Amino acid sequence: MHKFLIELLLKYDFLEIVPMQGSFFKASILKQKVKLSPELLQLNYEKLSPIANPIILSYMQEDTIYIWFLKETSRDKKILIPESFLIYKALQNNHDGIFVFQTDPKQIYVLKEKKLQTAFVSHESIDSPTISIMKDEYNFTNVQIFDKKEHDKIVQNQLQRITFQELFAFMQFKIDRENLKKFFLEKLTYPIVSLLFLYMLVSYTQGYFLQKKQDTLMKEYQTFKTKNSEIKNAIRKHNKTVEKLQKFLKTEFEPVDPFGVVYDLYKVITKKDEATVEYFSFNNNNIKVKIKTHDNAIKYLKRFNTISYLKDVVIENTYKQSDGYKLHSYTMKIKEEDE
Amino acid sequence: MNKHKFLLLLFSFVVFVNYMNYIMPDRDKMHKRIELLTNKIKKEQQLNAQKQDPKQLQLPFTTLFYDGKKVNYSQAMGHFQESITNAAKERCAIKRLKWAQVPLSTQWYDVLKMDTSLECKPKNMFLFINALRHNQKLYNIKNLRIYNNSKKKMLQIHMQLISYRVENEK
Repeated sequence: MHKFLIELLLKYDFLEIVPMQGSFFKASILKQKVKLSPELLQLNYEKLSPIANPIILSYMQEDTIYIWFLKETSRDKKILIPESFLIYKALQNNHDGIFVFQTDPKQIYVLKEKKLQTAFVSHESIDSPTISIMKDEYNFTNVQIFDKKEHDKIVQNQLQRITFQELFAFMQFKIDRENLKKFFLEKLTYPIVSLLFLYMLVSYTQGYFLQKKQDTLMKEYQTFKTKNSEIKNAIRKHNKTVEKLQKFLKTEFEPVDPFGVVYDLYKVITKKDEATVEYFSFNNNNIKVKIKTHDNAIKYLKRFNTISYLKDVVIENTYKQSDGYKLHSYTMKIKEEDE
Repeated sequence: MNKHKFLLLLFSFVVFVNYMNYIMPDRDKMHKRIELLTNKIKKEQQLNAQKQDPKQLQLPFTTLFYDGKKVNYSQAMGHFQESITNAAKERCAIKRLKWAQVPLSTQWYDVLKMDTSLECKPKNMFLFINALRHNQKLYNIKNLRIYNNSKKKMLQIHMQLISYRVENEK
């Protein structure tokens, strides 16, 4: 969003970066922290300017005020940001020292205690003797040299990071509350009033048509409702009856047909087995079966257990009869529907 | 001039706020209601298109149950006994048929109980049950006991056969 805003301001010439060679920089210490109006700035600092009738840009940082003097000609932009200010922002967190940018012309910045002491341009080449002179002059050993590419990159980066507060500081037009009120009343009253009434009209009309549609649909629904009332009542009655019948079946009928169980005894005793069912009873889901055979009782117990709807199969007792046959008694239960 | 404009702005805001609070139709609510009505109409249209006859939805009570409006308890038991004897004909020998006492009707149906004793061969036992199943009326079996009479090579079957009578259902 911020990046977009900066790009927009640059595109429509609301924002301009003032090249270093087009301005004269001066830093000054304020004894008291005061807010300086453009008039006070002009009164106090214009005399320091080498340019006659300059545009003065200023930026306050703690007790220091940074001032840039610009030629008045062709400066009709709304926001003017000095190039040296952007470079200073990038160098701010470095150690004290002299920073040289190999641009055309060369730019030299001197920073002390994170504050910009001076910034100027030089049209001459920066060689070792010149650097030695600068070191002596400012009493710094730290000298860093950057090429043009690095310079351009720094300027672009810092431009993206510029804050609203900084933009506001470099704004050439001042927002006057009284003027704003006047502007608001004079220029915006009719559009706002029109918009409000338009919104009311549109929303009310929309509501009116929605209500009308709703009424039509309601009528249509009522017609269908009346038409279908007979069949609906029949369905309701049918569902009730089905429910009643389901309850009836659950109450009156066992989950398994007793003769179905009798039929399934053929799975327990096959033709190959020498066995007969002597007794079978089915009462309230309890089954009792007596099998006459020479076989072991376990043989048929295992087969009973394979029938899915039976549970709790138990050998109740085994009698040995006088004819040599054994009579095995089994009891078992029918599983509940949800088991 | 500005004073007039200010008053106009103020008036407009007052009107707008009141409109928003008291007059503006709740369009979201209307949209939801229209959507709901559209869905309801769609369902009603589908139901209407099926052209169902309410008579189709009537359950066959008089087929499955003895009709209490046409036959009393005694007549129903008579019909029930007849259906049992018909099913047993040429298959099983009916040894005993005993009507249960007239039940106190606490449900929407009366229970018609018939204690039945039969004697038949295993195959005929299933044929008897099969014949009973072919009756239209619903029947139920309770307290089933089967003995194997090895001397006669016959099965002795004791059970309570049950059918149902309804009076008010159609």
